[in-house]
Amino acid sequence: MHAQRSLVKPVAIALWTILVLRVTFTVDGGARLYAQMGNPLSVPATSMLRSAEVFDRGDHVFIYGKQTLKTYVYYRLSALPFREFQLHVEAAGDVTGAAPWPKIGIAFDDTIRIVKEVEISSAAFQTYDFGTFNPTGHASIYFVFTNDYFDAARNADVNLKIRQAVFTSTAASDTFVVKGRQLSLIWNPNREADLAGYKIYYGLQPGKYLTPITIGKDSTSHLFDVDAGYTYYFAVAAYDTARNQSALSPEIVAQVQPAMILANSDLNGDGKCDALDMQIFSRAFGSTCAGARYNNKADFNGDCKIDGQDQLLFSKNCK
Amino acid sequence: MNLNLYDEFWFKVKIQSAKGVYGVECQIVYPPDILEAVLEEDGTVKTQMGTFLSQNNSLAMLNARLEDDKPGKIIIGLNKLGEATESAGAGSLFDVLFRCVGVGQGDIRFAQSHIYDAAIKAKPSQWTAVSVQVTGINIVSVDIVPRSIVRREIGVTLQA
Repeated sequence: MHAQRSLVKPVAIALWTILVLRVTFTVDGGARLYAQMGNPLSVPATSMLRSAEVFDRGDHVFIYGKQTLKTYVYYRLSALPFREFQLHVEAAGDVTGAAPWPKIGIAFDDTIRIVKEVEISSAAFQTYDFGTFNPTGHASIYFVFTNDYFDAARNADVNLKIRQAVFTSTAASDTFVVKGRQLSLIWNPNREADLAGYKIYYGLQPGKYLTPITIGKDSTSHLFDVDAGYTYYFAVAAYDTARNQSALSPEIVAQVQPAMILANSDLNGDGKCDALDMQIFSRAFGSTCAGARYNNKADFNGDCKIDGQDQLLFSKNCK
Repeated sequence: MNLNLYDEFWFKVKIQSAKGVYGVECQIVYPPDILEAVLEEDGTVKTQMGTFLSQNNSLAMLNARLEDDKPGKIIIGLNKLGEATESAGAGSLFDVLFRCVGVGQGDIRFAQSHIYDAAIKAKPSQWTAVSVQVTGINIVSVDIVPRSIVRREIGVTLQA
Protein backbone atom coordinates (compact mmCIF):
# COMPACT_ATOMS: atom_id res chain seq x y z
CA MET A 1 0.00 0.00 0.00
CA HIS A 2 1.27 3.42 -0.90
CA ALA A 3 0.77 6.44 1.27
CA GLN A 4 -0.02 9.88 -0.04
CA ARG A 5 3.11 11.89 -0.62
CA SER A 6 3.62 15.56 -1.08
CA LEU A 7 6.03 16.92 -3.66
CA VAL A 8 6.64 20.02 -1.58
CA LYS A 9 8.08 18.28 1.45
CA PRO A 10 10.23 15.42 0.26
CA VAL A 11 12.75 15.69 3.09
CA ALA A 12 10.21 15.42 5.84
CA ILE A 13 8.51 12.49 4.21
CA ALA A 14 11.77 10.69 3.81
CA LEU A 15 12.45 11.09 7.50
CA TRP A 16 9.06 9.70 8.38
CA THR A 17 9.70 6.41 6.76
CA ILE A 18 11.75 5.47 9.84
CA LEU A 19 8.56 5.09 11.81
CA VAL A 20 8.69 1.82 13.63
CA LEU A 21 5.65 0.03 14.90
CA ARG A 22 5.72 -2.05 18.00
CA VAL A 23 2.90 -3.97 19.50
CA THR A 24 2.14 -5.33 22.90
CA PHE A 25 -0.59 -7.73 23.83
CA THR A 26 -2.24 -8.06 27.14
CA VAL A 27 -2.16 -11.68 28.15
CA ASP A 28 -2.58 -13.67 31.34
CA GLY A 29 -2.92 -11.63 34.46
CA GLY A 30 -1.83 -8.39 32.91
CA ALA A 31 1.48 -9.72 31.66
CA ARG A 32 2.35 -8.06 28.41
CA LEU A 33 3.50 -9.58 25.20
CA TYR A 34 5.96 -7.17 23.73
CA ALA A 35 7.09 -6.93 20.18
CA GLN A 36 8.87 -4.53 17.91
CA MET A 37 8.99 -4.37 14.17
CA GLY A 38 12.14 -3.96 12.20
CA ASN A 39 14.76 -3.39 14.86
CA PRO A 40 16.45 -5.73 17.30
CA LEU A 41 14.81 -5.73 20.69
CA SER A 42 17.15 -5.35 23.66
CA VAL A 43 15.69 -6.37 26.99
CA PRO A 44 17.73 -5.49 30.08
CA ALA A 45 17.78 -8.31 32.57
CA THR A 46 16.82 -5.91 35.35
CA SER A 47 13.46 -5.31 33.67
CA MET A 48 12.50 -8.98 33.53
CA LEU A 49 10.36 -10.90 35.96
CA ARG A 50 12.52 -12.96 38.23
CA SER A 51 12.27 -15.85 40.61
CA ALA A 52 13.78 -16.00 44.06
CA GLU A 53 17.55 -16.07 44.37
CA VAL A 54 17.92 -13.45 41.65
CA PHE A 55 18.92 -9.94 42.61
CA ASP A 56 19.49 -6.61 40.89
CA ARG A 57 23.09 -5.51 40.76
CA GLY A 58 23.23 -2.20 38.92
CA ASP A 59 22.90 -2.88 35.21
CA HIS A 60 22.63 -6.64 35.54
CA VAL A 61 21.02 -9.36 37.60
CA PHE A 62 23.00 -11.63 39.81
CA ILE A 63 22.05 -15.27 40.28
CA TYR A 64 23.38 -16.63 43.52
CA GLY A 65 24.84 -19.99 42.75
CA LYS A 66 25.37 -21.66 46.07
CA GLN A 67 22.55 -24.16 46.33
CA THR A 68 22.58 -27.35 48.31
CA LEU A 69 20.46 -29.25 45.84
CA LYS A 70 20.22 -29.26 42.11
CA THR A 71 18.01 -26.37 41.29
CA TYR A 72 16.75 -24.29 38.46
CA VAL A 73 16.79 -20.62 38.98
CA TYR A 74 14.80 -18.99 36.29
CA TYR A 75 13.20 -15.78 35.36
CA ARG A 76 10.71 -14.98 32.73
CA LEU A 77 10.43 -12.43 30.00
CA SER A 78 6.97 -11.02 29.75
CA ALA A 79 6.74 -12.03 26.11
CA LEU A 80 8.26 -13.53 23.06
CA PRO A 81 9.36 -10.61 20.92
CA PHE A 82 9.15 -12.05 17.41
CA ARG A 83 7.63 -14.96 15.60
CA GLU A 84 11.10 -16.08 14.57
CA PHE A 85 14.19 -14.62 16.12
CA GLN A 86 17.85 -14.96 16.85
CA LEU A 87 18.83 -14.60 20.48
CA HIS A 88 22.04 -13.29 22.00
CA VAL A 89 22.57 -13.03 25.74
CA GLU A 90 25.18 -10.87 27.40
CA ALA A 91 26.39 -12.79 30.42
CA ALA A 92 29.31 -13.46 32.71
CA GLY A 93 30.17 -16.23 35.15
CA ASP A 94 31.48 -15.17 38.51
CA VAL A 95 33.41 -18.39 38.60
CA THR A 96 35.75 -19.75 41.21
CA GLY A 97 37.83 -22.73 40.21
CA ALA A 98 38.01 -24.49 36.87
CA ALA A 99 35.43 -25.94 34.50
CA PRO A 100 32.73 -27.22 34.37
CA TRP A 101 31.24 -23.80 34.00
CA PRO A 102 27.68 -22.78 34.80
CA LYS A 103 25.18 -22.88 31.98
CA ILE A 104 22.23 -20.83 30.88
CA GLY A 105 19.43 -22.76 29.24
CA ILE A 106 16.49 -21.48 27.22
CA ALA A 107 12.94 -22.76 27.65
CA PHE A 108 9.72 -21.54 26.10
CA ASP A 109 6.97 -22.67 28.39
CA ASP A 110 6.20 -23.36 32.01
CA THR A 111 7.54 -26.89 31.90
CA ILE A 112 11.02 -25.35 31.73
CA ARG A 113 12.05 -27.88 29.12
CA ILE A 114 15.45 -26.62 28.00
CA VAL A 115 15.76 -26.40 24.24
CA LYS A 116 19.23 -24.86 24.11
CA GLU A 117 22.01 -24.55 26.65
CA VAL A 118 25.14 -22.42 26.57
CA GLU A 119 28.15 -22.64 28.88
CA ILE A 120 29.19 -19.34 30.42
CA SER A 121 32.95 -19.60 30.65
CA SER A 122 34.18 -16.06 31.16
CA ALA A 123 34.24 -13.87 34.23
CA ALA A 124 33.91 -10.84 31.95
CA PHE A 125 30.67 -10.02 30.15
CA GLN A 126 30.52 -11.62 26.74
CA THR A 127 27.78 -12.10 24.18
CA TYR A 128 26.64 -15.69 23.78
CA ASP A 129 24.72 -16.79 20.70
CA PHE A 130 21.79 -19.08 21.40
CA GLY A 131 20.86 -19.48 17.75
CA THR A 132 17.53 -19.04 15.99
CA PHE A 133 14.15 -19.95 17.42
CA ASN A 134 10.63 -20.13 16.09
CA PRO A 135 8.57 -20.77 19.21
CA THR A 136 5.17 -19.73 17.87
CA GLY A 137 2.33 -20.25 20.27
CA HIS A 138 4.17 -19.69 23.52
CA ALA A 139 3.95 -16.56 25.56
CA SER A 140 6.95 -16.91 27.84
CA ILE A 141 10.65 -17.44 27.67
CA TYR A 142 12.80 -18.57 30.53
CA PHE A 143 16.51 -18.36 31.14
CA VAL A 144 17.34 -21.31 33.31
CA PHE A 145 20.44 -21.42 35.42
CA THR A 146 21.55 -24.88 36.37
CA ASN A 147 24.05 -25.51 39.12
CA ASP A 148 24.29 -29.08 40.26
CA TYR A 149 25.88 -29.37 43.66
CA PHE A 150 25.56 -33.11 43.70
CA ASP A 151 28.59 -32.85 41.49
CA ALA A 152 31.52 -32.34 43.87
CA ALA A 153 33.54 -30.56 41.21
CA ARG A 154 30.93 -27.84 41.20
CA ASN A 155 30.63 -27.54 44.93
CA ALA A 156 31.64 -23.93 44.85
CA ASP A 157 30.04 -20.60 44.30
CA VAL A 158 29.54 -20.22 40.56
CA ASN A 159 27.38 -17.14 40.48
CA LEU A 160 26.10 -15.91 37.18
CA LYS A 161 25.47 -12.41 35.85
CA ILE A 162 23.14 -11.56 33.00
CA ARG A 163 23.04 -8.06 31.58
CA GLN A 164 20.63 -8.21 28.68
CA ALA A 165 19.04 -10.35 26.01
CA VAL A 166 18.89 -9.17 22.40
CA PHE A 167 16.25 -10.53 20.06
CA THR A 168 16.61 -10.00 16.34
CA SER A 169 13.78 -10.88 14.03
CA THR A 170 14.73 -13.30 11.29
CA ALA A 171 11.27 -13.54 9.76
CA ALA A 172 10.25 -11.65 6.62
CA SER A 173 7.14 -10.41 8.41
CA ASP A 174 5.90 -10.82 11.92
CA THR A 175 2.80 -12.61 13.04
CA PHE A 176 1.93 -12.79 16.69
CA VAL A 177 -0.27 -15.49 18.09
CA VAL A 178 -1.95 -14.06 21.14
CA LYS A 179 -4.74 -14.70 23.53
CA GLY A 180 -6.48 -12.12 25.61
CA ARG A 181 -9.01 -9.42 25.05
CA GLN A 182 -7.04 -6.28 24.43
CA LEU A 183 -4.11 -5.35 22.32
CA SER A 184 -1.87 -2.30 22.54
CA LEU A 185 -0.16 -0.82 19.54
CA ILE A 186 2.92 1.18 20.42
CA TRP A 187 5.09 3.04 17.96
CA ASN A 188 8.24 5.07 18.13
CA PRO A 189 7.45 8.79 18.14
CA ASN A 190 8.32 11.09 15.27
CA ARG A 191 10.35 14.21 16.07
CA GLU A 192 9.43 16.60 13.25
CA ALA A 193 8.40 20.09 14.41
CA ASP A 194 5.30 20.09 12.18
CA LEU A 195 4.13 16.65 13.26
CA ALA A 196 0.35 16.67 13.69
CA GLY A 197 -0.37 13.09 14.67
CA TYR A 198 -0.67 9.50 13.61
CA LYS A 199 -3.14 7.31 11.79
CA ILE A 200 -3.65 3.72 12.73
CA TYR A 201 -4.77 1.45 9.94
CA TYR A 202 -6.36 -1.84 10.85
CA GLY A 203 -8.35 -4.56 9.17
CA LEU A 204 -9.12 -8.22 8.98
CA GLN A 205 -7.30 -8.79 5.69
CA PRO A 206 -3.67 -8.04 4.83
CA GLY A 207 -3.24 -4.62 3.25
CA LYS A 208 -6.98 -3.91 3.32
CA TYR A 209 -7.70 -1.45 6.05
CA LEU A 210 -10.84 0.17 7.42
CA THR A 211 -11.10 3.91 8.04
CA PRO A 212 -7.97 4.78 10.00
CA ILE A 213 -8.07 5.95 13.58
CA THR A 214 -6.57 9.39 13.96
CA ILE A 215 -4.39 9.93 17.02
CA GLY A 216 -2.88 13.18 18.28
CA LYS A 217 0.82 13.81 18.12
CA ASP A 218 1.31 13.37 21.86
CA SER A 219 0.25 9.73 21.84
CA THR A 220 2.41 6.84 20.79
CA SER A 221 0.05 4.03 21.64
CA HIS A 222 -3.51 2.88 21.18
CA LEU A 223 -5.52 0.20 22.93
CA PHE A 224 -7.78 -2.11 20.94
CA ASP A 225 -10.49 -4.49 22.03
CA VAL A 226 -10.06 -7.68 20.02
CA ASP A 227 -12.24 -10.71 19.56
CA ALA A 228 -11.08 -14.28 19.90
CA GLY A 229 -10.64 -16.23 16.71
CA TYR A 230 -9.91 -13.29 14.42
CA THR A 231 -6.70 -12.16 12.75
CA TYR A 232 -5.98 -8.42 12.78
CA TYR A 233 -3.64 -6.50 10.50
CA PHE A 234 -2.13 -3.18 11.57
CA ALA A 235 0.02 -0.40 10.20
CA VAL A 236 0.71 3.15 11.35
CA ALA A 237 1.49 6.37 9.46
CA ALA A 238 2.40 9.84 10.64
CA TYR A 239 0.97 13.08 9.20
CA ASP A 240 1.97 16.71 9.47
CA THR A 241 0.11 19.98 9.88
CA ALA A 242 -0.23 20.25 6.08
CA ARG A 243 -1.90 16.81 6.08
CA ASN A 244 1.05 15.18 4.31
CA GLN A 245 1.22 11.58 5.32
CA SER A 246 4.20 9.29 5.70
CA ALA A 247 4.50 5.84 4.26
CA LEU A 248 2.86 3.12 6.28
CA SER A 249 4.94 1.20 8.77
CA PRO A 250 5.48 -2.47 8.02
CA GLU A 251 2.32 -4.42 8.62
CA ILE A 252 2.04 -6.54 11.70
CA VAL A 253 -0.38 -9.38 12.18
CA ALA A 254 -2.04 -10.47 15.39
CA GLN A 255 -3.80 -13.83 15.46
CA VAL A 256 -6.08 -13.86 18.45
CA GLN A 257 -6.49 -17.41 19.62
CA PRO A 258 -9.99 -18.82 19.58
CA ALA A 259 -11.66 -19.24 22.89
CA MET A 260 -10.92 -22.61 24.42
CA ILE A 261 -13.86 -24.77 23.42
CA LEU A 262 -12.79 -27.97 25.11
CA ALA A 263 -13.49 -26.74 28.61
CA ASN A 264 -13.82 -29.31 31.35
CA SER A 265 -17.03 -28.24 33.02
CA ASP A 266 -16.85 -31.00 35.63
CA LEU A 267 -15.45 -28.65 38.23
CA ASN A 268 -15.88 -30.95 41.23
CA GLY A 269 -14.44 -33.97 39.43
CA ASP A 270 -17.38 -36.28 40.04
CA GLY A 271 -17.55 -37.35 36.40
CA LYS A 272 -20.50 -35.22 35.38
CA CYS A 273 -21.47 -31.59 34.97
CA ASP A 274 -24.51 -30.72 37.00
CA ALA A 275 -25.97 -28.18 39.41
CA LEU A 276 -23.09 -28.60 41.83
CA ASP A 277 -20.64 -27.55 39.13
CA MET A 278 -22.86 -24.59 38.33
CA GLN A 279 -22.70 -23.55 41.98
CA ILE A 280 -18.92 -23.81 41.96
CA PHE A 281 -18.75 -21.77 38.78
CA SER A 282 -21.19 -19.14 40.03
CA ARG A 283 -19.25 -18.75 43.26
CA ALA A 284 -16.09 -17.93 41.31
CA PHE A 285 -17.85 -15.77 38.73
CA GLY A 286 -16.75 -12.14 38.61
CA SER A 287 -13.39 -12.76 40.28
CA THR A 288 -9.89 -12.12 39.03
CA CYS A 289 -6.58 -13.73 39.91
CA ALA A 290 -6.23 -11.16 42.67
CA GLY A 291 -9.58 -11.96 44.23
CA ALA A 292 -10.39 -14.36 47.05
CA ARG A 293 -13.10 -16.17 45.07
CA TYR A 294 -10.88 -16.95 42.07
CA ASN A 295 -10.89 -20.59 40.98
CA ASN A 296 -8.51 -21.37 38.14
CA LYS A 297 -10.57 -24.40 37.12
CA ALA A 298 -13.35 -22.00 36.13
CA ASP A 299 -11.06 -19.71 34.15
CA PHE A 300 -11.42 -21.65 30.94
CA ASN A 301 -9.83 -19.12 28.62
CA GLY A 302 -6.97 -18.48 31.03
CA ASP A 303 -7.24 -14.70 31.02
CA CYS A 304 -7.13 -14.37 34.79
CA LYS A 305 -10.77 -13.29 34.92
CA ILE A 306 -13.85 -15.42 35.34
CA ASP A 307 -16.45 -13.67 33.27
CA GLY A 308 -19.13 -14.15 30.67
CA GLN A 309 -16.83 -15.79 28.17
CA ASP A 310 -15.88 -18.45 30.70
CA GLN A 311 -19.55 -18.92 31.45
CA LEU A 312 -20.22 -19.52 27.77
CA LEU A 313 -17.47 -22.14 27.64
CA PHE A 314 -18.72 -23.74 30.83
CA SER A 315 -22.30 -23.87 29.62
CA LYS A 316 -21.43 -25.14 26.18
CA ASN A 317 -19.65 -28.13 27.63
CA CYS A 318 -21.96 -28.87 30.54
CA LYS A 319 -24.15 -31.56 29.07
CA MET B 1 -32.63 10.16 33.94
CA ASN B 2 -33.28 12.16 37.09
CA LEU B 3 -33.50 10.28 40.35
CA ASN B 4 -33.70 11.08 44.03
CA LEU B 5 -31.39 9.96 46.77
CA TYR B 6 -32.41 6.51 48.06
CA ASP B 7 -34.40 5.70 44.94
CA GLU B 8 -34.00 2.21 43.61
CA PHE B 9 -34.35 1.51 39.92
CA TRP B 10 -34.10 -1.37 37.52
CA PHE B 11 -31.50 -0.91 34.82
CA LYS B 12 -33.11 -2.84 31.99
CA VAL B 13 -30.97 -4.11 29.13
CA LYS B 14 -32.80 -4.95 25.93
CA ILE B 15 -31.71 -6.16 22.53
CA GLN B 16 -33.07 -5.50 19.07
CA SER B 17 -32.29 -6.42 15.45
CA ALA B 18 -30.51 -9.52 16.65
CA LYS B 19 -29.98 -12.87 15.07
CA GLY B 20 -28.01 -15.93 16.04
CA VAL B 21 -27.58 -15.05 19.70
CA TYR B 22 -26.45 -17.78 22.10
CA GLY B 23 -25.04 -15.68 24.89
CA VAL B 24 -24.00 -12.28 26.14
CA GLU B 25 -21.13 -11.14 28.29
CA CYS B 26 -20.77 -7.63 29.56
CA GLN B 27 -19.43 -5.41 32.26
CA ILE B 28 -21.53 -2.60 33.66
CA VAL B 29 -19.42 0.24 34.99
CA TYR B 30 -21.14 2.72 37.29
CA PRO B 31 -20.12 5.55 39.65
CA PRO B 32 -20.03 3.91 43.11
CA ASP B 33 -20.16 7.26 44.88
CA ILE B 34 -23.60 7.84 43.39
CA LEU B 35 -25.01 4.39 42.77
CA GLU B 36 -24.94 1.07 44.54
CA ALA B 37 -25.69 -2.25 42.94
CA VAL B 38 -28.19 -3.95 45.23
CA LEU B 39 -26.89 -7.33 46.38
CA GLU B 40 -28.56 -10.56 47.36
CA GLU B 41 -27.56 -12.24 50.62
CA ASP B 42 -25.09 -14.48 48.83
CA GLY B 43 -23.24 -11.50 47.39
CA THR B 44 -24.62 -11.74 43.87
CA VAL B 45 -26.06 -8.64 42.25
CA LYS B 46 -29.85 -8.51 42.30
CA THR B 47 -31.03 -9.18 38.76
CA GLN B 48 -33.97 -10.33 36.75
CA MET B 49 -33.55 -12.59 33.73
CA GLY B 50 -35.17 -11.33 30.54
CA THR B 51 -37.09 -13.41 28.07
CA PHE B 52 -34.92 -13.04 24.96
CA LEU B 53 -32.62 -15.99 25.59
CA SER B 54 -35.50 -18.18 26.70
CA GLN B 55 -36.88 -18.27 23.18
CA ASN B 56 -37.51 -21.78 21.84
CA ASN B 57 -37.89 -23.02 25.43
CA SER B 58 -34.17 -22.69 26.01
CA LEU B 59 -32.73 -22.88 29.49
CA ALA B 60 -30.51 -19.93 30.29
CA MET B 61 -27.96 -19.07 32.96
CA LEU B 62 -27.42 -15.61 34.40
CA ASN B 63 -24.57 -14.62 36.70
CA ALA B 64 -23.97 -11.09 37.94
CA ARG B 65 -21.34 -10.17 40.50
CA LEU B 66 -19.20 -7.22 41.43
CA GLU B 67 -15.70 -7.74 40.14
CA ASP B 68 -13.77 -9.12 43.12
CA ASP B 69 -16.69 -7.92 45.26
CA LYS B 70 -15.65 -4.28 44.89
CA PRO B 71 -18.22 -1.65 43.90
CA GLY B 72 -18.04 0.07 40.53
CA LYS B 73 -18.06 -2.78 38.04
CA ILE B 74 -20.56 -5.60 37.59
CA ILE B 75 -19.50 -8.68 35.62
CA ILE B 76 -22.41 -10.28 33.84
CA GLY B 77 -22.70 -13.56 32.01
CA LEU B 78 -25.93 -14.62 30.33
CA ASN B 79 -26.26 -17.51 27.95
CA LYS B 80 -28.23 -20.53 26.97
CA LEU B 81 -27.27 -23.96 28.24
CA GLY B 82 -26.00 -26.84 26.14
CA GLU B 83 -26.93 -27.29 22.51
CA ALA B 84 -29.74 -24.74 22.26
CA THR B 85 -31.22 -22.93 19.28
CA GLU B 86 -29.96 -19.38 18.94
CA SER B 87 -32.32 -16.48 19.64
CA ALA B 88 -33.26 -13.75 17.18
CA GLY B 89 -35.26 -10.55 17.00
CA ALA B 90 -35.83 -8.23 19.95
CA GLY B 91 -36.45 -8.65 23.64
CA SER B 92 -35.21 -8.12 27.14
CA LEU B 93 -31.88 -9.59 28.21
CA PHE B 94 -31.69 -8.82 31.91
CA ASP B 95 -32.35 -6.17 34.56
CA VAL B 96 -30.03 -4.99 37.31
CA LEU B 97 -31.24 -3.26 40.47
CA PHE B 98 -29.45 -0.09 41.54
CA ARG B 99 -29.89 2.20 44.53
CA CYS B 100 -29.01 5.90 44.61
CA VAL B 101 -26.59 6.44 47.47
CA GLY B 102 -25.03 9.79 46.61
CA VAL B 103 -25.83 13.05 44.93
CA GLY B 104 -24.30 13.82 41.58
CA GLN B 105 -24.20 12.91 37.93
CA GLY B 106 -22.58 9.97 36.23
CA ASP B 107 -22.87 7.36 33.51
CA ILE B 108 -23.78 3.74 33.56
CA ARG B 109 -21.79 2.32 30.70
CA PHE B 110 -20.75 -1.00 29.23
CA ALA B 111 -17.25 -2.37 28.86
CA GLN B 112 -15.88 -5.62 27.41
CA SER B 113 -19.34 -6.38 26.13
CA HIS B 114 -19.99 -8.93 23.44
CA ILE B 115 -22.73 -11.01 21.91
CA TYR B 116 -21.87 -14.58 20.94
CA ASP B 117 -23.32 -17.14 18.61
CA ALA B 118 -23.49 -20.86 19.38
CA ALA B 119 -19.93 -21.32 18.13
CA ILE B 120 -18.85 -18.79 20.78
CA LYS B 121 -17.80 -16.34 18.14
CA ALA B 122 -18.37 -12.66 18.89
CA LYS B 123 -20.88 -10.81 16.75
CA PRO B 124 -20.76 -7.07 16.01
CA SER B 125 -22.85 -5.08 18.48
CA GLN B 126 -23.35 -1.57 19.75
CA TRP B 127 -23.83 -0.82 23.43
CA THR B 128 -25.19 2.47 24.72
CA ALA B 129 -24.36 4.29 27.94
CA VAL B 130 -26.99 5.98 30.11
CA SER B 131 -26.53 9.18 32.07
CA VAL B 132 -27.91 9.35 35.60
CA GLN B 133 -28.55 12.46 37.67
CA VAL B 134 -29.22 11.95 41.36
CA THR B 135 -30.53 14.92 43.29
CA GLY B 136 -30.46 15.22 47.05
CA ILE B 137 -33.18 15.54 49.60
CA ASN B 138 -32.96 18.74 51.56
CA ILE B 139 -32.78 17.87 55.22
CA VAL B 140 -34.48 20.72 57.07
CA SER B 141 -35.22 18.85 60.25
CA VAL B 142 -34.04 15.64 61.85
CA ASP B 143 -37.65 14.50 61.73
CA ILE B 144 -37.72 14.40 57.96
CA VAL B 145 -36.64 11.06 56.53
CA PRO B 146 -37.55 9.32 53.29
CA ARG B 147 -40.91 7.69 53.82
CA SER B 148 -40.68 5.11 51.14
CA ILE B 149 -38.36 3.76 48.54
CA VAL B 150 -39.44 4.54 45.02
CA ARG B 151 -38.54 2.01 42.42
CA ARG B 152 -38.10 3.28 38.93
CA GLU B 153 -36.96 1.80 35.67
CA ILE B 154 -34.25 2.85 33.28
CA GLY B 155 -34.11 1.12 29.96
CA VAL B 156 -31.22 0.71 27.58
CA THR B 157 -31.52 -0.99 24.24
CA LEU B 158 -28.70 -2.87 22.66
CA GLN B 159 -28.39 -2.80 18.89
CA ALA B 160 -27.18 -6.09 17.48
